[in-house]
Amino acid sequence: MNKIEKKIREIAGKLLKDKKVKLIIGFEKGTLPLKARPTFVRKPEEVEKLIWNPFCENNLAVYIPFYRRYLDNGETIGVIAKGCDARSLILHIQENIEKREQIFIIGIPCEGILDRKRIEKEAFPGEITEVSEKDDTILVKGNGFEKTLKKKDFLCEDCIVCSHRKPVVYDELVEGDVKETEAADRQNQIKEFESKEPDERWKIFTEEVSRCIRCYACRNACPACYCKECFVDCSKPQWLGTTVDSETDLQLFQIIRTFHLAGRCVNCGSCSRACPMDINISLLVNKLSVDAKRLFDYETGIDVNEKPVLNKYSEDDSNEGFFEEH
Amino acid sequence: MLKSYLEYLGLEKGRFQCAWLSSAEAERFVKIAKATIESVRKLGPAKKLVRKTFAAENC
Repeated sequence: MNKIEKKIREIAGKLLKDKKVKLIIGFEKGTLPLKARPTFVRKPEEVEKLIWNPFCENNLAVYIPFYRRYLDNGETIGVIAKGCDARSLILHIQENIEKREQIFIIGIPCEGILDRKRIEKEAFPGEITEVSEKDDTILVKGNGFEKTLKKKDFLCEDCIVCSHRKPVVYDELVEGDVKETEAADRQNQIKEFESKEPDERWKIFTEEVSRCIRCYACRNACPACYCKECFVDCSKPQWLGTTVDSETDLQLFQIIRTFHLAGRCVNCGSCSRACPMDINISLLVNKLSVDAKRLFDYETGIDVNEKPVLNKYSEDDSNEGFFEEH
Repeated sequence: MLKSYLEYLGLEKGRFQCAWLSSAEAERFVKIAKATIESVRKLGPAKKLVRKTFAAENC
């Protein structure tokens, strides 16, 4: 048990015992070695199952709107939040679907999530049966092999350019020294793609999304996708085709879903990690965050009292993209 | 933002236009509509984001 886990259990136990929160959302050990599973703790004696490691990849803010329906008015939910989870929670508060006082944020300074798919590839063809952590390395063991891997070589792409590893807003912070990343510039992530010719970009985009099987795992993993009725499920009117037969439907689904996240996405990378077909959804949504920063100097989920960027108007807003008289 | 996004994904410049207009600006509306038609004509028929099954049935 590491130091952070110990502290998490201590805080969670105390909150539940004092009946300050009804429920705590955190992680427990998954059934597979490179996975942690979201868990919901209601009793103080259950806190022992809470864990923390670099495979806690889900954004836990996603469960809040769902669990809120089963709680009485005014009851508080505790969330064990990484930097990005906390920013998503702030987004929920900004968009009035949650009240600040009804969420208890247990902040964790996050060192970045490791890309489980890349680690599995590294160990291929062996199957990983055990993983342990030590300082900045992880030790993966399998049938007849053992490998020590450096954590920093296997960080998720979104975590490499993460700008807020430490939660910006929290009720209690698990102390830990975590340095903000040096390469915290999302621009770097899309630069290469952006420098290509439009037709080349369209080709890459089409290749990526043509793998989509419309499972909607990206939508379900996304904390900002909390609509009760999603546009893809809507049948009156049916906004777009629901099959994978038409390339255009796949393109439209990805464009529309991601564009709904404009100025709302915190770039946690949950969608890319949830995708069973390895579609690089981050490549799409990162552009929106880069644009929100470039056009409106805005970052999502920083200030509880601020309005979401596309909800406010100011006379000196950028006019980029609108028709210009010649 | 939408225009910038679509162009980032590779849609041709000029295919998609946005404009701020008031209902009192009839002349400006005409001007913008004409300019849009002109820029889209220059680009030729749309090949991107066209539903193939629909096109196959109708062309």
